[in-house]
Amino acid sequence: MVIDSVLEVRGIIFVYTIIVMRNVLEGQQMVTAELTAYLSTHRDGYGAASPARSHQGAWIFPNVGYFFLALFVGTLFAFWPPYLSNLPNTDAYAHFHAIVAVIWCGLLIAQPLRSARTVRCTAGSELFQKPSHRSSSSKASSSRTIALAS
Amino acid sequence: MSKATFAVRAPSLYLGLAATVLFAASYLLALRYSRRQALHARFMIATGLTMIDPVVVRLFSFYTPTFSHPLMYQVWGYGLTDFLLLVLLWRPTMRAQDRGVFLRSALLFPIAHLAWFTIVQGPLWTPFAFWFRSLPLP
Repeated sequence: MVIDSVLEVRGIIFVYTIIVMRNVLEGQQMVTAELTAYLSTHRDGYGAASPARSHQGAWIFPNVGYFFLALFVGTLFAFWPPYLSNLPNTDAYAHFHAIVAVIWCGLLIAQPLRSARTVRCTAGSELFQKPSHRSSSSKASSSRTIALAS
Repeated sequence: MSKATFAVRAPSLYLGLAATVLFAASYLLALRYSRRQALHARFMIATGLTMIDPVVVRLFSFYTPTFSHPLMYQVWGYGLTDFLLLVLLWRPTMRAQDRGVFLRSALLFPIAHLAWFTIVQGPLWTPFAFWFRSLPLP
C-alpha cells in the first residue's frame, strides 16, 4: 500500500538515526565547548556585548525537552483511539512506525536535558577552579551565565 | 484499494510524504551543521516539529467538535508548526549568518504547508499520487 510505503520510508530514516545516536554525545560536547568559549570571553568583563543581551532566550534549548515530553503525552492521547486501543489488530507497518517514532521522541527529550545538565556542570567547574582570578564584575557575569544556562 | 477510492484519498498521501521530506531535510541539515550549535539544535527541534501536525489533527478530530471545513485541521497543525519555527528564528538570539541559513532552510516548511492548501487540493496532485502508487515499493 502507498501509505504504508511512506510510513516505511519514514521508519527507515528513524532507524538510521538510531545508528548515529552518537549525536547525543556530540551535542553535549558542542554545548560544553560553546559555553567554555563564552566564559573565556566574558570572565574578565562584559566585553563587546552584554551577556543578558547576547543570550536572550537562552532558556529555550535546555528546556525544549519538556516541550517534546508534553508533545509525547499528547501523542498518547492522539493515537489512543486509532492505534493504542487496538494494538492486536494493527499491522506491522504501524508497529514499526510507532516504535521508531517513540525512540526519536526519546532522543528529542533526552538530548536537550542532558546537554543542559552538562552545561550546568561545566559552569560550576569553571567557577570552582579559578575563584581567585575573578573580579567582582566577572563574578556577576559568571553567575548570570549560570542563571541563563539553568 | 480501488482506483476511485484512491483518487478520493489521494490528497492524504501528501501529509505523510511532506512530513517525511521535511523530517529528512531537517535531519540532514542538523548533520550538515553539527558543529554550529545554534543551527544544529534548531534543525533537530525541526525534526520533532514535523510530529505536531499529526498529533494536533488527531487531538482535534477525536476530542473536539467537528470543524466546519476539513482543511481547518491542518490550519491548526501546520499553523502551530510554523509559529514555533518563527519563535526559533527569533529566540535564542543567534548570529546574522546563522539566522540567514536557518531562515532559508526553514522556508521549506511553510512552502510545503501552503502546497497542501493549494496544489494538493487541485487537479495536479492526483496524477502524481497515481504515479507514486505505481512505484515498485514494498
